[in-house]
Amino acid sequence: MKRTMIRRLVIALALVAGLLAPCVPARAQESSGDGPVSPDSADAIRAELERPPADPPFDVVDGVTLPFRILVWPLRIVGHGFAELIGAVTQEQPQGVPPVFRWMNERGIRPSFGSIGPRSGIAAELTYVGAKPLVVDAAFSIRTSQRYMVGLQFENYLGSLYTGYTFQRDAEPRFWGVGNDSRKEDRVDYLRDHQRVSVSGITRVSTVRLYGELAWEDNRVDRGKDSRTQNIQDHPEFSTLYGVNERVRYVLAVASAGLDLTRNSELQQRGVYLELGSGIYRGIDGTDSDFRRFSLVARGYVPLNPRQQFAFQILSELNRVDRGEEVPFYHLAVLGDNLGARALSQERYRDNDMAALMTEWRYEVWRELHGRSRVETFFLFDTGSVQSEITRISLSDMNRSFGFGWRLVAQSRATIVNYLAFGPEGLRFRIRFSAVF
Amino acid sequence: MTAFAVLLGGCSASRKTTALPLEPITYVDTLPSEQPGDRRVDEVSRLLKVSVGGEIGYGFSFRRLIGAGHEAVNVSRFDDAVNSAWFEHRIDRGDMSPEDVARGPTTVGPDTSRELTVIGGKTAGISAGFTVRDARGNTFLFKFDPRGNLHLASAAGVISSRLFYAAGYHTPEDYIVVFDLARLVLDPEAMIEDAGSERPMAEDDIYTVLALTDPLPDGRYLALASKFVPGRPLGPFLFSGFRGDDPNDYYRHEYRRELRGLYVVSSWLNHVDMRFANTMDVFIDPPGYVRHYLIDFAATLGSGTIRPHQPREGVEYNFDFWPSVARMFTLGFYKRGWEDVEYYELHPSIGWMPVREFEPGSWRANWPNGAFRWKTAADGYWGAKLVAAFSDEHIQAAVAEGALPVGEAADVLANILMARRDKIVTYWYGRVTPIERVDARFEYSSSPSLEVSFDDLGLEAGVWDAGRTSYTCVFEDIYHEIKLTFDHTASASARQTLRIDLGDLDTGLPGVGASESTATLQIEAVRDGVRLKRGAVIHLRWEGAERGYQVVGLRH
Repeated sequence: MKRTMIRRLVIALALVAGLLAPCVPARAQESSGDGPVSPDSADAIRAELERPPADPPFDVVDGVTLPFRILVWPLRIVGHGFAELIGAVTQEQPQGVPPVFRWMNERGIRPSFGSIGPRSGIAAELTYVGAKPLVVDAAFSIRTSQRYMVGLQFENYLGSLYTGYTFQRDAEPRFWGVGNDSRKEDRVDYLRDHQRVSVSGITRVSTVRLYGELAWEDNRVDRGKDSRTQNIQDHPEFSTLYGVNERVRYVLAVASAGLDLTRNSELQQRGVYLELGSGIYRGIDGTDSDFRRFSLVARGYVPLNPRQQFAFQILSELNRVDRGEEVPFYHLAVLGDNLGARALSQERYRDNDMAALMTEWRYEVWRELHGRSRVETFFLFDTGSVQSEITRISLSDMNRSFGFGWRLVAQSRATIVNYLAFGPEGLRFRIRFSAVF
Repeated sequence: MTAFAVLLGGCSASRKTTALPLEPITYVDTLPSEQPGDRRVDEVSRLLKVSVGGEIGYGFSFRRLIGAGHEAVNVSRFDDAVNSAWFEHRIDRGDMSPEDVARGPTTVGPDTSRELTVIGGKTAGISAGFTVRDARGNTFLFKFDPRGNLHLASAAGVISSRLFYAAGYHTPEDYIVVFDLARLVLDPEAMIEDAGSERPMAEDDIYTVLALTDPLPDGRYLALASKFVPGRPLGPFLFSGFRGDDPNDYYRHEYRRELRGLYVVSSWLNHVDMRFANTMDVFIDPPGYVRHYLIDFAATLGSGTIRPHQPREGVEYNFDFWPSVARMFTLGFYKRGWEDVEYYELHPSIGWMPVREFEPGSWRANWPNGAFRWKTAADGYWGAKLVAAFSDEHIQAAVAEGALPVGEAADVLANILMARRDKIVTYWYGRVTPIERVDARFEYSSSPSLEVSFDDLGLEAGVWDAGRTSYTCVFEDIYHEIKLTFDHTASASARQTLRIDLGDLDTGLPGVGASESTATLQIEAVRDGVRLKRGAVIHLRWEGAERGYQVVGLRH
């Protein structure tokens, strides 16, 4: 047996050496011709060859680790699947897609995905900018929220001016009641259609950003689309709130001024930003409601070194009735999610006034070699409250969120934020595609 | 050593022998085959797998923790790789002159005296460039240096191409080319890759690419011209697994000696971008087989292609999973040495290529790969022998091909390469007992003895002093049932001779078959009183009283 094997090996070696002798040069190989060996006969030669195994033999370590490898095998499959998915999503040239995108791009049609309102879910959006200054936009979400817009947008180095009409349907936003003591189990939903004809402008002078808007607004509330949740109209207490049963129309004027002393240094925000805003809402066409709104946004990004940074955001909003009914419930100040309480649902608390402090301790864990992206981890702490008057807010009433997460920031301005926040109503796991602050 | 499977049997029922392992066969992977399909590897998913999945797996690997990594499988009985479609012994066989190294794989460079037709281009990606066909009909990829660093990437590309080739790997023909803009003519059919898609190329695209580099003082442009390799490109090869549609691709790549040893050559030349994207499989037809190339050496030496290298490169992966986890759990306070290294540019044409901070054992490419990850000391030693084969003259000859602008820069770069070579030799020769060229002489007399001679490469390279070197040896013959342990003090030269007195040897026993061995001589070097962790094992075969023992294998 052994002799037969040796003879085969010798024959194989002789065959290979003989056949390849003309094309075994000292330098890169150059063949003089097809030679006498065809791929098929080469297969036969290969089958006869005796050579070391392609893999190391199974050994004791393999035996010891086998159970563990079997256990993690599903994880490996999931991991590989995830990597393939990311690869497919980020592929530069997915078959068939680029021509469509290119065709759309050449005609001024911009597709995008994202949220279009409270609890809209992911929406697909198409914006047409092919006949500037005309802008047409249509968006539709998985929860049937919708937004349609047509307008004129003028832009130059001084800033931009927009005038147009917008119709928006928020299909199933939620409402828990008014005040800081609203109960989780009172949750209801509603539908809100609102239309707006507006003229707005924004300009930036050095570090100062100015915004102004004049608008006509029409609001109508109907039954929400979420069949699992009680409707606001059916709740004994909430159904009497102003705005639930009334069609409400306003003319309004909004203005804000921001002082932007931030800069983006190596994909890390630094500096401070301060914005003060005010709005005047006047009821028309029988709407018995006038009110005013004041808002404050203050952000600070304090780098302790190139890696560590403390960042904070202060948010506040005050609404004051000037005449008639209360502020419509959907125009009240809100607290929840990225507005002051990341462990709470979106718009979890509402009342006239709101104040919140959001903080993050950020530190870099990875930076791409060419500086095109970076990942930082952060610990978050948010605290905030709503009250009928801001002076009634006390530290004991504050809703607090704790958590941690990570943020990927790319030079292309693409951002992925992922965090886990813990609060009095449980924990929330969020993936966002824009910075909270 | 474990590759030598111990089998019971032999010529006598009561005498044991050891079966010698099978050996890889020279050039057997150049047997004709059908043309394999094109391979397209998705970069993002591949890098995620190796950088996250691979690193987690390696981090928790029991095999790694107990230091029981598998040895390479495609090694000869003398612990060497054989010539193949992957690798050919060149400089380590000692017959390459400095001129041979300088010539590398080159044949005929681009003809810049006549029209250069631009037939394609690329504006996106790390480095922009265009494809040019010269008047002789040869096609080249022209790539340019970044602004402010003229010669940086082009010199690195040409020098490293020569050195990788001389080390034994397949590389394309790379040339430094200087051309007049007026020679460029745009082919009307030329297409350019832009933002992930192709479109017809315009003359402005040529200027867009050229705007990314500096012209020479006389207004001409300098580029690295990489000649298209002969054959049909099939996409990259991977550093793990194998190509299922290539019947010649037999050994799993992570267990291939030449790919594991490539780590050492890459560390020497600071090829931090050594990853699948810089490799290419090419179907050579006739006779019809896949040859495996390393391509694109612009991110080697001190060059990061579009800028000089940074201190982090060569020390940490681009995405290094475990250090990132460490930073995450230490609130970002975990730091690695490179973060405090003071960065400086040696010369605009050289960039950053450290010697003092270079650690041959912990050097890292920008992306992990299976072959590098699972290399063993034997693989590292094998790679170090390739690097050690480059003399100062070889290095100087290769550096001269880079056409660096001033002599001082060439001298500095050559000196860096020599210093890194010496560090590599010191490190890897210290991981094993580096003996080679073993001979055995059996003396048949009334008192038989065996003389075993070998070269200690550690002494030959001057890494250690003979006066402070000794060897602990164990001779075991399972056929004659002899076991002897003894020490040997190194003699003055690198050539050492051990004399083993075999007074009780039964010389009447017959010799054994050609595929068997009967004895081993394990030698562990003791340097400065410290015994190396890993000894060398010489395998011997008893061939009867007339011939005595013959050396039939060596493992490190």
